[in-house]
Amino acid sequence: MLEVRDLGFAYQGQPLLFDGVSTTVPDGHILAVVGRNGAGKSTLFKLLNGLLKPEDGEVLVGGKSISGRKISEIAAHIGTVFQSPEQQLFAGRVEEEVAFGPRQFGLPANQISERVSDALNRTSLLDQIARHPLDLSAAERRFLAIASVLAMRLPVLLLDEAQRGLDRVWTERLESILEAERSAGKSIVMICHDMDFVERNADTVLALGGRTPRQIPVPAFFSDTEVLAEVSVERPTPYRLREFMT
Amino acid sequence: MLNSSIYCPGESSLHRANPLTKSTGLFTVVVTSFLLPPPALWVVSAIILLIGLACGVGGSVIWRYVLLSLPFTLAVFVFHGAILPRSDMQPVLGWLHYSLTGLEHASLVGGRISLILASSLLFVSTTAPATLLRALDAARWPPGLSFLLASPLLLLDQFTGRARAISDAQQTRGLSVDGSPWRRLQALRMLLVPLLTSALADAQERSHVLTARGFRALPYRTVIDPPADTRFQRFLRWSLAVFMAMETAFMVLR
Ligand SMILES: Nc1ncnc2c1ncn2[C@@H]1O[C@H](COP(=O)(O)OP(=O)(O)O)[C@@H](O)[C@H]1O
Ligand SMILES: [Mg+2]
Repeated sequence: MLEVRDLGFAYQGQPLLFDGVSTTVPDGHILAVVGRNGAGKSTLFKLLNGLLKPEDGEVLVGGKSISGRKISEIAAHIGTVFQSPEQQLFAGRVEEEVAFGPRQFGLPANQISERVSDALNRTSLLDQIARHPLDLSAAERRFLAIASVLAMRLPVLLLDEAQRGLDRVWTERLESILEAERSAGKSIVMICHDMDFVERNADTVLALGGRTPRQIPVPAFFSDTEVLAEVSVERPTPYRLREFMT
Repeated sequence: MLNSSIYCPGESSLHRANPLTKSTGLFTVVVTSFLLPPPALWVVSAIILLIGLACGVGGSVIWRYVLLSLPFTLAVFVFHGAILPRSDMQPVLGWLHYSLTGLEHASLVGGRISLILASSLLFVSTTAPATLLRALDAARWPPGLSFLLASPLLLLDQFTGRARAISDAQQTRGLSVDGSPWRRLQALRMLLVPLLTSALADAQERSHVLTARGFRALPYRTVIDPPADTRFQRFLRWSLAVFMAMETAFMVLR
């Protein structure tokens, strides 16, 4: 379980971006973070994974506070798939990229290779195990970034725009990974602009950029015209259809 | 540890000066560095770092200056002062020898690099790449040429951005970047290797961009909001150009 309590943050010399943001992501739950560009979605992730330090509030994983810990220690609890994965791959081979996280934990070699093949299998990249990450297609690189985090087997998963620009086949693969992780009891937070994707996969929504960010169940969120206008997001297709029919 | 950009926004007169004036100044310093004696090279380097402090970019300039020049300066002094055999080698302690002429030569080479580095850092930390591009376009430089001149700056920005992204990814996947010097060295190596690979991979792409931007139908691009320029700055640029020409003539004829 991931809990955020009264988070407050501002970039140096800028007005407060977050003021008392709270949210709870239970085990086996998917929270979608939505909001227009610059609303602070990516910043929220950096506050969760320790790259930025909040000025106020606390982040808890499994009931224990991780605020103030080192980034590499938080990495044992929270995994992050950043926006633009082509920027974040660094190994010379697909296999090495995925093994990096488990290796930092000091696992024995046979466990590492078991985790690597499992993660690559789940992301349909097992055939590419010996290739250079830069030789992969855009979608494959995205999934390599996902595999690298899956191999760490962490209770909390953060995904920044993981579905953006994927075709139908890859989108379905992503959805089945999300579903499997949810069934395995993970707390998942995803930043997402695609409201159809949110509607299909998320349990609750945290809308940033409005007056008071609140965590709302998906059906309630998409029925609340006021909040939708405040954070300027489109309604997903099923909701628009329903509105059209009645 | 890494800023995403070397350029530090500010309001100092150096920030507001036209980028053409600043580049002319930079070229003058580079040319002059070949004429100055060693002590002057180090004194002028220090003055330039002080100007950086006065312009509010001192922290970023000095930090990078130390990081980039220290290893080089040390290597030059050890190599010329104590390793390269010279006729005036004097024993210091056991097998350790030193040469005065070698040290003088090291001070000259090191001082030159130090001066060029300090002034380049001052230039890039007070000049936004986009402003430089607009200034060159406003002066009706061919787009290809101005892009070629500004691209090292744009590249540096891209490079530091990518360094940050890789470092963030590695740390959130459990890499500890503090601890023993050995660990830190390992972390640095894990950052530098992928940076170099991606720089090489990008180089090919960039050459395509250059051709695409360089050879277009219009000989120059029109600029809607050219950076401010003044009559004094134009006068200064011409004077510096004449001064550089005289320096060059002196070096050739001497
Ligand atoms: N490193 C930074 N320094 C200062 N301001 C930043 C930095 N990163 C982002 N911002 C600003 O913070 C706000 C939120 O950015 P971000 O979290 O990237 O938004 P989103 O991901 O929702 O598009 C934006 O206004 C952005 O300009
Ligand atoms: Mg973002």
